[in-house]
Amino acid sequence: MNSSGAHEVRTEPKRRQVSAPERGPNAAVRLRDVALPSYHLVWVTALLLLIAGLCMMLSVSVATTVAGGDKFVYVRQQGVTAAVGLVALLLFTRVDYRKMRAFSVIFLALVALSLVVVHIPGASRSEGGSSSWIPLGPLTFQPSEFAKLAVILAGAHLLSSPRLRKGDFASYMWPFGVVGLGMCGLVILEGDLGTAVIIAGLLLGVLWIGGMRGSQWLAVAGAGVVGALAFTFSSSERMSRVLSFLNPSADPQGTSFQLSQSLVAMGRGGWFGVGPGGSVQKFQYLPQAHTDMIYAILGEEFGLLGAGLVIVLFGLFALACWQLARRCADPMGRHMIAGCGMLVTLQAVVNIGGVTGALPLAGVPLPFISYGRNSLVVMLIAVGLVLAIAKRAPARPVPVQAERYGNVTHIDRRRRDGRARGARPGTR
Amino acid sequence: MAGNRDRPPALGYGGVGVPDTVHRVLVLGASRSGLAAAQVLAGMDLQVTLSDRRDAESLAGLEAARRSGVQFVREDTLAEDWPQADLVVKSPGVPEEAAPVVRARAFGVPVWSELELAYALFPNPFDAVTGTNGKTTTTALLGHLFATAGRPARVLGNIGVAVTSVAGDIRPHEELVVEVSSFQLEDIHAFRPAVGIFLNLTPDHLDRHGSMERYLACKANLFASQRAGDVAVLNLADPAVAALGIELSGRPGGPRVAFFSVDAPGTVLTATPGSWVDAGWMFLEGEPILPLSGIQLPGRHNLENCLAAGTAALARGVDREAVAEGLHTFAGVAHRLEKAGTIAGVTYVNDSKATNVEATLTALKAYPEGTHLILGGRDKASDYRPVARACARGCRAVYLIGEATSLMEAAFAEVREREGVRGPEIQAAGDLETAVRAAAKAAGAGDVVLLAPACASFDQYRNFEERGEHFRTIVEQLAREAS
Repeated sequence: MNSSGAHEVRTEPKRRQVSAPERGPNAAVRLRDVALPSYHLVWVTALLLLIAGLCMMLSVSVATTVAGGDKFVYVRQQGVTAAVGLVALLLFTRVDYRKMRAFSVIFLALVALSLVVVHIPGASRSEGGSSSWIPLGPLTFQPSEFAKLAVILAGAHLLSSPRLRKGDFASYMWPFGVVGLGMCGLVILEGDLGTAVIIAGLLLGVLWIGGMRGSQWLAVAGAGVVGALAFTFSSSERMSRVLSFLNPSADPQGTSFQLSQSLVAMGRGGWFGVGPGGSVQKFQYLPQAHTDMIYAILGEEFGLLGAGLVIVLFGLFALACWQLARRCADPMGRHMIAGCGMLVTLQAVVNIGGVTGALPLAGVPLPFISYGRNSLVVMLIAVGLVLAIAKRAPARPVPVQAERYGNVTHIDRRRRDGRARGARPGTR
Repeated sequence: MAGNRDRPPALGYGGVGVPDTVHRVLVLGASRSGLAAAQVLAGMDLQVTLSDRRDAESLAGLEAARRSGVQFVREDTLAEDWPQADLVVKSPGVPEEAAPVVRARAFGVPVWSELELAYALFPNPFDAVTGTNGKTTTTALLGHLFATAGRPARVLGNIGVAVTSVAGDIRPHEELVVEVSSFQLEDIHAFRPAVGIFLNLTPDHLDRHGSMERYLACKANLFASQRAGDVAVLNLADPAVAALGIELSGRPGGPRVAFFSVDAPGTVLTATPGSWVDAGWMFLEGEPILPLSGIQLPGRHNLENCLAAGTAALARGVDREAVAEGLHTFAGVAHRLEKAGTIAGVTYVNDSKATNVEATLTALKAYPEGTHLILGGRDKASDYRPVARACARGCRAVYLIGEATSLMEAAFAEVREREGVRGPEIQAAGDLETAVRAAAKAAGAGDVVLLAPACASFDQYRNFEERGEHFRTIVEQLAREAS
């Protein structure tokens, strides 16, 4: 076509414009702007899990009619809780997380105090072997659930404060580490081992993110593991209960009753489940079907597909939190996002692991899904916190490459547009 | 601890007064700070002798001092007629090697800098700012932060007001924000700033200090008397300053070291900064305080100044909101990259405060293209080749004034020949007015005429302020002629 320039035919590099934000290097970028997909993923996955939970509540509520109960008993309660929790979530998204520094310490003190109050006879109510509730009029308050949030908030504040700059062991452990371990001990005394494990895990996670030196962290973690093992093996009853997951069929009517019933439920579910509401195991076979064991019923009714989908949703939630934390330039915000992400993920792993027999059955609720007013509110507040930080925290922008070439010409360009490497006019 | 004098233990800081044993004081150097010190001491019923190398006639403000009872002698007469002083107060302009200083030391007479005298007189907390470049901006900014927070504070020192001159009208608990040059740090003994800021260390004043080691030792003096509860604000991005800070943080009973850095944490592995710049935000003491777009001061060096002043203000208990507002509203200091006017599209920039090579290089970074640069003044034994290299990049022309002209020409010629850099046209203009007029004639619309002399002003002016004022008046004249 262009006959005169035949020898000039060369492939023009096709420039695909990578959306470079038109801002100077001094522009302040918010976390939500650089990680919009992650921001939306956080609330979308939480909401989907919440809806799944409400569906499961509808299903297990029916089972109470056998004992003469109301067929909407759980779903009604959980619905009200979800509404309250969502309002709390929206309120927390409007709070400037930086103003929570002072609040976090007060909150930690209040929670620690109420964990002590639980142990005062008469002030608490016990249920299912552990006395973790404080009755407040028609409601019950479970301090150990809020202790998780307190560990995250206080940890984010204390581990990003100037006094930690020297990075010595003492400033990590006091007051944060010691108060956290104290709370852990109080929860163990309640008899709620599962929650204690979660709090201990959060404590270690927050210390890790807070930048504790590896050797010191290993020392703390090792001490924790040794303590937990010592506590477990100090009573044969505890030991057999914890170890029953290794061989669930050894004592199906005794220590491994729950686990074997749970495995029966999952087995009935198969690939695609017995269908919504079709669970048999929820009818008094599986104790705690509406709380800690809800995942077994989910597996029974929706099969591997449904149960796998729930795991995928939790995975996406964790991934989104990780992305947000990674990009967050503010240390306190980063610690808080990571802590909230860990709270949900850790609890999901411990619960699902326990129900499926991969881990010892610890007795913690499945986030967003299990019945439990305190738990659900705390989880939704955690989501609110993540969103609040993402809206306000300064973010590291994604490293932008100025241009990318859609074809392979960039390889040629290194060789001076198709000529041999280093070719230049000969010397005279 | 450096405090070998008795002082009441309840009083944390200075204000213990001049020792009772002192009756006769010799003040060396009748400049701004020497005059102020002499007058204050005379007001305390001490016998004060003021001396200077110059004649009494050429010294402004001497009359007022004489009226308050100060006796003036020329410095060369001190050799025959030593005033038997119990204390020597030294102005920053007097070198360590000056005959009276050497003699006083030989006699075992204590030599104080004016700063030490101020510390002995005022019980107020001192916030001292030092470093090679950015002192004035940081000092003014810290004063502005206190003002924004509604805290009483005075901005003193090198910035223009002698520290001792405020004796009498100072309220207790008023913060004294002092710009301190290394000369004033040569003879401090008990001086203990509540906050000491050390911005950076580049070769400057080498003619006076001899070597970088001694220069650093001078600057490090600032923190020598600091104790637990005091704060040392140090630049982690400057290797020499960072090394000093790491040593300081290991000192038992020493000050809290608050590092700041323009780089995000993690880039420097030796220590963690408490204040830094990351992701378009300024972080002070671990928390974001305001986006960089909210700061009016231009350039990366000014970010360091903002970090330092902000960290210091927080250490003195100013609340974060006030610091953020102050950083946002601060617009800069006179004679420091200050726009003097625009005539026919040509911008005239007064950076008379650029009295060393580093500062001139910083100014050239702020105005890299189409610059007509005015250089020169009194040489400070600097190496001008970096300026010559920087000029080759975007300067239209260079105009040389003052004593340093020949040295500058030599540096430019050397860079041109040795390194093959074809620099801009160089013109020896002699004085500032000729230089500005020549530049105005040569400059076209969009160009910048920049006074960033890289030298001291003492050959033709009393100080850099006078040089800057002169530049401003010339620009005003040009504007009048143009209209």
